[in-house]
Amino acid sequence: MNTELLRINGLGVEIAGLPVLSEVSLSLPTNGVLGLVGETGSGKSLTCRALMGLLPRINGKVVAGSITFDGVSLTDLDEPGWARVRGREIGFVPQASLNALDPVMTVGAQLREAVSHLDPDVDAKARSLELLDLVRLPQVREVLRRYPHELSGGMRQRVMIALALAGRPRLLLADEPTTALDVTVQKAILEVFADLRTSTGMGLLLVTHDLGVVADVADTVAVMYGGTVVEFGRAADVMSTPSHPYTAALLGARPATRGRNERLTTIPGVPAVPGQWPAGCRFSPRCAFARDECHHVQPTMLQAADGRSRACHGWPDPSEEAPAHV
Amino acid sequence: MSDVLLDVVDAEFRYARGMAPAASGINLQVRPGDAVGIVGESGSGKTTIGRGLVGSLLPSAGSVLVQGRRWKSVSRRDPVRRTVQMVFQDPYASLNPMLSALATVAEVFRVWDKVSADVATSRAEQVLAEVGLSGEVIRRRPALLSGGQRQRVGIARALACSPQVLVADEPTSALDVSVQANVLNLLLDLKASRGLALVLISHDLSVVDYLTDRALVMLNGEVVEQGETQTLLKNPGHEYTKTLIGSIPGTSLTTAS
Amino acid sequence: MTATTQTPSTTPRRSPHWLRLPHWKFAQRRPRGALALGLALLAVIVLATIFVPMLSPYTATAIAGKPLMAPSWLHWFGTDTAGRDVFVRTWVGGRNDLLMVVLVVLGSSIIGTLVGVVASMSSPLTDSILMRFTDALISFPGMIIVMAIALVFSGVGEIGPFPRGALPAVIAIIAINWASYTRLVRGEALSLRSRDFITAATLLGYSKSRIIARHLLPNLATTVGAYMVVDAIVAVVTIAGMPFIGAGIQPPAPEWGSLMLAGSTVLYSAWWVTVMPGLVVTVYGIALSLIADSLLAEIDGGAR
Repeated sequence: MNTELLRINGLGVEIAGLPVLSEVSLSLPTNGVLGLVGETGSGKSLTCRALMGLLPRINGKVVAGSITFDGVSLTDLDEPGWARVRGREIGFVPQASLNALDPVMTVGAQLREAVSHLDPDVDAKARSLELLDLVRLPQVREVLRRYPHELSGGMRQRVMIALALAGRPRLLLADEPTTALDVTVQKAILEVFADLRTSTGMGLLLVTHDLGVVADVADTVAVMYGGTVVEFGRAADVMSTPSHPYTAALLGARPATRGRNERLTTIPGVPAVPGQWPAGCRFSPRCAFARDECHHVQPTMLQAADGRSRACHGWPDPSEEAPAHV
Repeated sequence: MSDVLLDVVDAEFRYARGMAPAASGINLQVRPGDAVGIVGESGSGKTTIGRGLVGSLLPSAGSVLVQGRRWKSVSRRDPVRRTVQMVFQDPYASLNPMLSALATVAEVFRVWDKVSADVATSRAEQVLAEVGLSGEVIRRRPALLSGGQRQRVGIARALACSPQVLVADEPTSALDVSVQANVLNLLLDLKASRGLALVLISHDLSVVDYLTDRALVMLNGEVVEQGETQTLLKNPGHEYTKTLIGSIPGTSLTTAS
Repeated sequence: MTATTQTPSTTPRRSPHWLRLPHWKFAQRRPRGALALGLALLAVIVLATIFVPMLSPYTATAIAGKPLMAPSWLHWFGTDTAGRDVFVRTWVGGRNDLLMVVLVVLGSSIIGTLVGVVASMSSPLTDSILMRFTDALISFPGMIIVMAIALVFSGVGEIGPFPRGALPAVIAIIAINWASYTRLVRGEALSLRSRDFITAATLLGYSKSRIIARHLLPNLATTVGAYMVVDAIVAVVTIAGMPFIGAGIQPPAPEWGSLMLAGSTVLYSAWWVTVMPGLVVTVYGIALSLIADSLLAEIDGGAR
């Protein structure tokens, strides 16, 4: 059994000929939790789409690099191939999924439909109950009879997760699963993810803009900026001693890190926009440490001795680096 | 009593007669330079209180006094109206898509100061510069501004009528972290430079902790706890406040940095 | 993905569903191409209504040849039962139709928009009185009202470029047609009013008239504009239908509807008298629906 569930290596994606992702590299061990962090336009949702084979629907395609899932390359999969992967190997909880349930079908009907499609050999009704138990919904029999509008936001999100689990995937992809939820509900949902990890043994790729969420649930983290991964490593390491200026700036921008009435660290300028990438390092126009080469040469991901990697020409210290993935 | 800008006494708010109150038993005083936080989750009634403070929702019981007067008696052109202005959550919806940043702010001067278009424009340029916007950007319409820039325009529009209190309803929830930091810094600066009082409505305890001195914790339309922000967060008295604090993600992160 | 996506709660601005005619894929995929094609076709029609009557050797009312001559180099669209040239009559008639359409669309949109905006800004009582009246107008059988009004004003003679019967028809159509603009505008204005920039304007103490003029109307312009184009199609159908019930422009002045009506008695022997003007009306409809569709595609696309 391969202990590496997912590896993305130097992934490049174009939409209608416009480069939107480049040099995206990350990996996720079996049963691991990876946090994919970035701000608006950083490319984290597009990375998800690439992972689900959903790029052709938005006129996009993979132009470089590879996606390997459990030792098998997904990069050259055709549509029927993707259909076998989606839901069965990789479950997906899409962004803004609070309104993604069919309003005229009961929760039970939707679950049974998903189960009979993805897992036809089991009793759909029993499996539906089991799925709702997995996401810790109380009074499951009651919930099965309900329509989506009769449920709270947190309950609907649990149902969405249950739907994503119907095909017993080995990797669950969740795109901003708690963004629209209240903090107390968010906490409960994050606990569900933590439970699922132990109860099903699957891996979790959690896309979020919230570094706090990553710190709480992820063991590894990939930080994205300008359509590329700029830093990758153990969550605890990255959060405590960020090695990329962007990660450091993001952490410093959180109000929780400052005393009251003390100014927050800000990042000057505006985020890089797909199709208008600056030359050299994508972050260089906003970076306080940018040197001459930063504006001309795009840095590649380099792995340091402690297993962390980053794409930076050397802040704070350019020593002790060796090329990653050799 | 004369220095109280906003005085909420046993106020209750309903959206329609016969409907259950969206908030009740609210008591709150805002004096010059105050920074008050209103914390709660969705449906807690925190936005309702915000609407009550700016006079767009009148209390169904109790009273909301602005400079000692009931909102009901404050007419459209009453100078008392200038006391309180609002900053909205959704920076795009809060700006007229057809007006440039400059025109949006200049309009306030045209209406309140009855000045010529040129004077209004130059005053608008000053206020926009105060919130960190200048140059070609201020002639753009909202669609061509970033989220953070839009929120600055919204703040500049509020500042243009020289308010003494700014009621900000989730002013940074729709923004990215790095952009949020810019807006929070700006609010901090304005508090100091203009002596503005600030009422910050937010679900985010870290933001409330960062900006405010006093806070109300709301649950189901009622205030469950009220007091100094720091005390409240360090020694929460009510179970719900404890739950809220326990739900903030990344507490380990805070201590680590 | 631009900074616009930073505001997840912004509801995309979409045109109202009932404004959506069955869409042309072409207009949806290539709005600019569709717009150009639609404008070009419309320009051809407008130019023809101006220049054909000026350059043609025939006039609209004079006899130009034998009755019911088939289309030929001499008479491109043939001649009618009285021997008049159908080609020149089609374009002179087209001028009458287009002038009436412009008046109908402008008049209805101005009245309808004002009433709609006022209703959206009024007290619930005024609003509901205005809207019940509007509903009543919409639900009444329109043609009967149009006929009644047109007959009442049938004494009005030729005024300026408008032949006898034209202005009564225009007034009659405006009298019922403005109501559909009111429905559209009130709905849009109410959804705009719930946006925070209107709340901000109210908190700043702006007057109602300022809020309407500076903040509501400019934001309604695109929707109303697109509907005006759709309405221009409906208006031509209504105008051309009026001769069939004895209203509208009075003979001998030509008009698309009366041309087709006159030809209907000889449809099997002399199809051109009906079909040729009918083709022109069809091209006019296609041109306007291409323009309308591309405008709607732009409105919807602008949300993204």
